[in-house]
Formats: sequence, C-alpha cells, structure tokens
Amino acid sequence: MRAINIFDRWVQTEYAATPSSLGLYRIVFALVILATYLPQGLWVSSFPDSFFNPPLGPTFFFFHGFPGAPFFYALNGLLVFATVCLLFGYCTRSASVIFSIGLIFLQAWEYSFGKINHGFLISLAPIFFAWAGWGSAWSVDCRRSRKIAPVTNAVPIASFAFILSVMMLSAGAPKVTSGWLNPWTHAVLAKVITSHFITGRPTWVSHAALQIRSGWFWEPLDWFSCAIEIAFICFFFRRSLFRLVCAIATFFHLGIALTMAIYFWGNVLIYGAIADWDEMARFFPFSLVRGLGKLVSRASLASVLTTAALTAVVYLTYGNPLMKLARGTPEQAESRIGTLILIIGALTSLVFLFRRFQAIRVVLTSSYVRETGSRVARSPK
Amino acid sequence: MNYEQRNRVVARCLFAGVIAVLPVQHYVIHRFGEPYPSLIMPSFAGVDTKNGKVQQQSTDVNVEFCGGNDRVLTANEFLYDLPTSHVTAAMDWMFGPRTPNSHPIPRWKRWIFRHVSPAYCKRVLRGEGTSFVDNETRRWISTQIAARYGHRPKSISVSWYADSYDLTTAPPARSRRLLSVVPVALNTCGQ
Repeated sequence: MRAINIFDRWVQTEYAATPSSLGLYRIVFALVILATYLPQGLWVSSFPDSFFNPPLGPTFFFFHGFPGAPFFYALNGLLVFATVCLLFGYCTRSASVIFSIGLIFLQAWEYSFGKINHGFLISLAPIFFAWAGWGSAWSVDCRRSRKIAPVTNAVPIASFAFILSVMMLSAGAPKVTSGWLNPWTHAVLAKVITSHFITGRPTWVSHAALQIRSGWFWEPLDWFSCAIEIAFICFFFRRSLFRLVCAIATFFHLGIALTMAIYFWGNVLIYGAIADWDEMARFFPFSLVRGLGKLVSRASLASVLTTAALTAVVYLTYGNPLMKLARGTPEQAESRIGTLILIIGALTSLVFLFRRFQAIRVVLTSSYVRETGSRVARSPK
Repeated sequence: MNYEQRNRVVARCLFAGVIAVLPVQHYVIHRFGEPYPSLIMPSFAGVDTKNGKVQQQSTDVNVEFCGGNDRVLTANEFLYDLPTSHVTAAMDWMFGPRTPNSHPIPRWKRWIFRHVSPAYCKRVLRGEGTSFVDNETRRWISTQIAARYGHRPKSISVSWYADSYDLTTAPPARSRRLLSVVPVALNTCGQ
C-alpha cells in the first residue's frame, strides 16, 4: 500500500508544469510540425499496389493496396487544419485528438512499404498534452473560457515520460545484448559505413569520420549510444535528472543526423515537452514564442478558422512554403529543416547544461564558503 | 469518484498498461514482425565487426533501354519517389531473391487470410516464392524510367550483392560478391 501511495504522490507532482509553460510548448510544437512535417505521404498513392507490404496495424486488415491521391490530400488537409487550431489553441482537445489519430493513420500508410520509421511519439504527444492542459494558457480557448485559474495535470506528462523512457529502452537494450559494448566490435562505425556507402546517405561528417580507424575513437561512441538510451529509464523518476538526459540526448541525435543523415528531430521536439518553457521564453529566440503566444491568444474565432483553411489550401496546392524555400526534393528539404531544428535543440541544451552546472557550482561554492567560514569562526585565535 | 481519485486510477492503469503491453509487443514482433503503432524505437542492433569487416547486402538495377543502351542505377535512383529509408525494404519485397519454403499453407487458412488480411496473404505468397511484378507494376516502372531518363526501358535486372568493407583501410575498401540476379522483362517498347 505504501508503495502505491508513493507512486500516486509522485505521478501527481513530479512532472507538474505551469499552464503557461505547456501553452508555449503547444505553440512551438505546432510551429515545428507546420514548418517541417506537413504535408506528408502524398507520394504513397503514386506506387502500384504490388508494393503494399504493411506491418501489423491499421492497414494490415482488409486493405489490398494503397488508397488514391484524394484520400491523402484530405487527410493532410485535416492535419494542417488541426495543427493551425493547435497553434491558436482553438478547440485544443479536439484538434489534438484529430491530429494524433490522423497522423497515426497517415504514418501507417507511409510505413506500408515494409519499413517503419518510428514517428509514433509525435503522433502520441498531442493526446497526452491536451490531457495535461496545454490549451489552458496562451490560447483562444483560455480567453473564451470562464475559468479564473487554468489548471494542468501532471499525470499525462509523467506517463508520457515513462512511455518515452520505455521506447528509448527498446532501442538501448538490444544494442547492449547484441555486442555494442564489446570493445572489439565498433557498431557505430559499421552503421556509418552502411549509411555512407549502401543506403546512399553520405555526409561531409561521415566522410571525415571514416578516415579515422582508431577503435579509441569509435568504441566510446558505441558505449555512449547505449548509455544515453538506457539513461532515460534510469532517471525518469526525477524530472530534473530526466531533463539532463534529454538535454544530452539532443547531441546524440545531432550526431546521428550529421554522420548518418537520419533526422530524429521529432525526438528533440518531444524532449521539449519536459522543458520549462517559462524559463526558456526569457531567452532569445524563445522569447519570440511568448510574443507569438500573446498574438495567437487574442485572435478571433473567424481569423483562426480562416487561417486554418487558407493554410490547408496553400499546403495542398503549393506545398509547404518553408520546404520550398529549403529547395531540393521534399526529403532533402525535410532533412535541411530537420538539421536546423536539431542544431537549435543542441544549442538550447548547451545553454541549459551550462546554467545547470553553473547553479551546481554556485551551490557547492557557497556550501564550501559556509563550511570554511564556520571552521574559521570555531578555530582559536 | 472525484477528479483526483479518477486521475490516480487512470495513472495506475496507464503505467500498468504500458508494462503489460511490452511482453505482448515482444510476442507480436517475434510472430508477425514489428507492428505499428508500437512502443519501439529503432534498435540498430547487432553489427559484427569482429573480423575487421562490415558485411551488408546491396542492390544495383541494370536498365536495358528499348534503343539498346543500358544504364546501371542504384536502388535510390531506381525508386526515386520513395524516401531513402524505405528503399531497401521495398526492393527486397518486390525484387528480392525468392526461396520457396517447404510448408505450404492449407487452403482454408489461405481463404481466411485472403479475406481478413490480404497483406498477410501476400506475405504467405511471398514465402512460397511468388513474384509481385504484375502488368500494372511493369507499366509503372516503364513510366517512371521514361519520365526520368527520356527512353522507355525494355527490361531491368536487379543484382543482389554481398558487400564487404575492410575496416583496416581508411576509407574502408569494398569487395563485392554477386549473390543473385532477378530479371524483369517489361515488354513496354511498343507503347
């Protein structure tokens, strides 16, 4: 019974966040999705049904092949509309649920070529954070509701942190059991070679790194990969430590992007959910998010719906404007914007880690001064 | 039950649910392959570099055009509309060497698979050595190549190699061994 009580107390308090922090995160989440991710999967319908090889999931039963292009246009239109509603915080709960379910279905079709790209966390996050109350500040909903003090719920955030930890463990544990820690095997080197020569994703960093033969360079990378992925489950019980792990993991993802051209920007966006956005919004460029928050929360209902509809039309007819700016194929554009997000994530983490260690140093110095001061006071003159 | 009590029960159920899902998920992966959605991240598990070599399978596509020319494409160049992450899996599914298994599926099971999960039925057929390159696929390949290279192809042949990268040299030197060639006649020259 005691353990259950400790769990109940922990789950309701450890990941408590302010409505303002969650609201700002909602804005960042919606902006990143609009900038990087949508529209998505419009290429699926161009392949013949013989390519249809879905995993066990929503597309596994009853379907013989891919739906036509109108289906993907409609689904993307719905997703863009829901994301703009999320940005403004209008009907936030419904928009979050529609976004999550819509994206799960869209990804299920994209992954029906025999390869799963593991974007499930991005689909899952809106449901959990809508439940946590990310629409209760900096939103049209907040302005329209009559509640005096908006409330948030820590349970979904703690649950989400647990799910994230379990998923990272699912990546880390097989590495440990399949020989990544063996000093005579260099798994990261093998992956970089595969990515560089076979998958066709060479980068200038992989080109430079492959000139290095020393195991002293490659083996620590194997160990670091295992350690960071397992650290999530070891430290999720304490938010301050979990934030440290998330901050360090952003460098891990940036490293993967630079060496293997695999852009897990979605994970970095998810780690942002654990951050304190009230604190982050004091610094540039996140101070702009607060300004944007003021702007979106004052929007009228008509302007929200018009913006959502217009954005959906632009995305479906012209394409994602930012991706057009980034040039190249949709995949190249997504990788460029993805790298930018990863770099911003890594820089933010660097500032966070620097401030955290500075705070620790201040605490240690002050306790040292107090101790030596009292020793001096006690010592006979 | 008030809000706080309900919240507490939901939290307990959620954590217990996630823990309970893990063994089920493990069984599903073992039986049917990785499901989606699932609580899994890519593991990148198990690459052995003990003998100083990295071994991987790779593919080339030799396209013979109607005019008589030919051209060798990488798998990414061949399936250029597909995200690069999907290319290897798609090539294997469509043009991978087939090794028929020796245990045919009973008719009644096949009937159920075909109606409930056509996708699973296709997997069974693939296991029996069936090729999925039908006329629609041939036309599609022909149109894709013609749109990109300006000429209709007569046929393609997909070569599968076992590549080996020697880690003792920098950058690693490649040696390759041909595993099999899968020819696909397109018959679209007159169109």
